[in-house]
Amino acid sequence: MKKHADERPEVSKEELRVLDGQHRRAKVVELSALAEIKRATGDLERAEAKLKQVERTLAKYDATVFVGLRTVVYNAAIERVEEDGETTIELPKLPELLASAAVSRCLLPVRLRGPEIRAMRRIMKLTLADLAKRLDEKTATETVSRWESEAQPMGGYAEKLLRLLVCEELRENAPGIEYNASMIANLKVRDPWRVEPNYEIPPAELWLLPLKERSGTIIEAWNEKKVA
Amino acid sequence: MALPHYVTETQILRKIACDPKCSLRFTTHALKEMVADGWTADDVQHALMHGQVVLHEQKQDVLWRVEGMDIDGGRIRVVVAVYELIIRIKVITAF
Repeated sequence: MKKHADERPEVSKEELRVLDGQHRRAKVVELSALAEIKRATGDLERAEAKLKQVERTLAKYDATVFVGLRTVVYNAAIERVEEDGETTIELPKLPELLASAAVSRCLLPVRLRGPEIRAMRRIMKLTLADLAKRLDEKTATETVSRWESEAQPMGGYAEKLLRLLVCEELRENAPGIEYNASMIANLKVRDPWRVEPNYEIPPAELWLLPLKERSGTIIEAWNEKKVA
Repeated sequence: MALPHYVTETQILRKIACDPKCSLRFTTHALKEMVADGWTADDVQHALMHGQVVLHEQKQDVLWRVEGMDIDGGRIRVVVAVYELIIRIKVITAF
């Protein structure tokens, strides 16, 4: 058995990036972990069995705590039981996930709530003052703060401007989300809380899928719709 | 009294946290603490990229306590285990 394990072709991390589609990053991490265990035990099969035992990809995971916006990811979150018995969660391509969730929310024609404005600002890594400046030079920092705390409602024009800013800023990190500026311009934003105060915004549902870029290279990207 | 500043550890931490290949693993306890304090993964990452190591503990793993700022400039402390060779950070807790 050991001989069989040794005959496995060596695959470099670079090759894995090109060849492996869906779980590229997870595979690279897995390979590194595997190499560590292999060195320690000298038994690849035992190491593989051990990895399978302690690691699984969750079919569905609520990633809201990671993102700050209501988000559910499918077949991507990796749950592990570490050696110390502690359970950990890892989300591959985290910056891309944050960007995709923000762009996806901006394209949803439902009024933005204060915590969502705050989450989007944080995903763009902007302070209150930075966001005020980016929206309009006349916008005061205090105004943005009041929007976030819902002490003052955001006007329709300002909201569209914010959505546009978020999408333009984050679109490069969210190639799997279909977006163009006219989608924001044509958005008919509704306010469901007027008729239903307990309305819950539907979460952004994201899958990590291979995506072919214009250059022809295949990358992994967070996608809104499941492709069969 | 000034906090002890672990220069080498801070340099290693920042280098790994800034690496795009770095995988961040969050313990379920850390996620609970983040929810309680209103922090997201971005805040923790920001603290790791810009904060400094102030405490070094030897438990089952070598743990570093990092003091930094969240994106809004609020103070955040994160306890992490850093795996330099495999470019991985395990976030044990945040407070």
